[in-house]
Amino acid sequence: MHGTNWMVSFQRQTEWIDGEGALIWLADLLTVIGAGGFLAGMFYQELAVMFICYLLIAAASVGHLFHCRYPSRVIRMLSMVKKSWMSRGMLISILFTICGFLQLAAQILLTVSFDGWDFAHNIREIIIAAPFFVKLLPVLVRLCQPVDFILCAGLLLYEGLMLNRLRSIQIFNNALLPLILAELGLLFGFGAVSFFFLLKERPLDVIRHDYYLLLILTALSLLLFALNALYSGSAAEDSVKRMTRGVFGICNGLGTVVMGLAVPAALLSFGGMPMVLRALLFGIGGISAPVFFMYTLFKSAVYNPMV
Amino acid sequence: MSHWGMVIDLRKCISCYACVIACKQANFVPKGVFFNRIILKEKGQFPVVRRVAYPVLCNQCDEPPCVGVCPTGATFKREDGIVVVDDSKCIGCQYCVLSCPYQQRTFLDKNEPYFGDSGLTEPEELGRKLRPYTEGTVLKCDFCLRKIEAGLRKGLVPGVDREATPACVNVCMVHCRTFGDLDDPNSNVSRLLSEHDAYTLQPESETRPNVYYIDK
Repeated sequence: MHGTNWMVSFQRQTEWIDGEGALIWLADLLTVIGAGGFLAGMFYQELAVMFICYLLIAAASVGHLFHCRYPSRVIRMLSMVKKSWMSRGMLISILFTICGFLQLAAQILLTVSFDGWDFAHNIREIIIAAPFFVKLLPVLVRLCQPVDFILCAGLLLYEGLMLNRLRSIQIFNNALLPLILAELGLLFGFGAVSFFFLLKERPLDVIRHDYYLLLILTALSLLLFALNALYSGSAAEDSVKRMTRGVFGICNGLGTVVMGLAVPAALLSFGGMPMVLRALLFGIGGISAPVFFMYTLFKSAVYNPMV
Repeated sequence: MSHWGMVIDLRKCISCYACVIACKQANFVPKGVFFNRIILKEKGQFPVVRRVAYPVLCNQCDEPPCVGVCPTGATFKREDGIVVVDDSKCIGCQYCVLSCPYQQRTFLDKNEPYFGDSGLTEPEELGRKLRPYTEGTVLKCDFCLRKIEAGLRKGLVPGVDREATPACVNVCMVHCRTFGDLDDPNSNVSRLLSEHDAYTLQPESETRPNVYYIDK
């Protein structure tokens, strides 16, 4: 019978990772890395990173849309902004999609000349030939920058806070989780910025100290998170064991710790490697930490047994 | 205003699964979905081991986490304490499923026939007319709310009159389930609670459930 051994032992959550639920996980991941990347791109004025991360967040919104099956359902999600973190997240996503687009469009028109792309070049020439637009675009960038910064910070934090509300799953109900997801998002951003810096043969001096600090903070947070979970209850302990043993253990060990934390730290400390290879390793390191950690976290999250 | 609740006497339960089946039949619950379940747990260590059956259903909590997380307000708590899902508002995000410490919510992905390719049976066809569950939404037990409301309109007392009482309570041959108004000190549930040392499942979740268990 279906109910016999159900909820007596630890039972894995499948709703947000298996089957169609993978869209929710994917949307969460894209939101976290998109927001972290956009923030890092804004901070270091790396337009390519901002553009890619904007597309990632837009893709996350599309993921939500597909999961909800009908666009009207997404609109319905905005009705409980005062109460639900999911509603707040959706509102922030929509606002960011608009404000981020305005900022990016203005910045691209101001800085990219589109040489070689005749159609785009001609359109840009027409727009910036108008004195109104020449005055408007810098104002638009200046206005949107602080708004986008706040919205990105909101996007970066809301995923963690949304998971943090789930008292039924001990590993999610951890105060450090929002911080860790934010740090992983920023790690992706720093990896992406380093990737583009190296491709353009720019030195990494500007980013080096901040990157070191972020790597150390993330490593400490992950350690504290694991220790805290080990002592906060049997279900959280079981989740940590699942995350650190077997295939998931290898994924987390290689993906999160080695590629995500150790390799970028080593690359920042030591040179003597072809520029393209370094850039690639930064890129892979930046993406692997959030992907592997979030995947194993969602796969290993278990409910507290009922009896 | 009434505040509906249930008391389950575990000493009486014989794990016959009649409540599970009665609930399925009364509410035309789709395939793969259960509003009522029996959990069997072994307690003690060899050679002193006993098997305990826990009939479980939605606890209709006073502090329901599912209501707090719902992004559309589809899940809400009525004045009589019953937590219900408005499937016209539910978007199927399953945030409530994850938030329920008792795992008493089920996402209905597809409402498939019970017997696969053979198509819908006559009772299934009837069920889909009477209880048209919406695919892509979340379902849960509502203490047979329709029966309670219909009974109240006729002046019946839920928990006393069978016509106004949840199906799982009616069908229990050993009377291990008792249903009634927790706000009425003279109701059968209030009397049971005052006479016995009742407890709720997972009190650490701080959800203040309205389904109580008695085992001594």
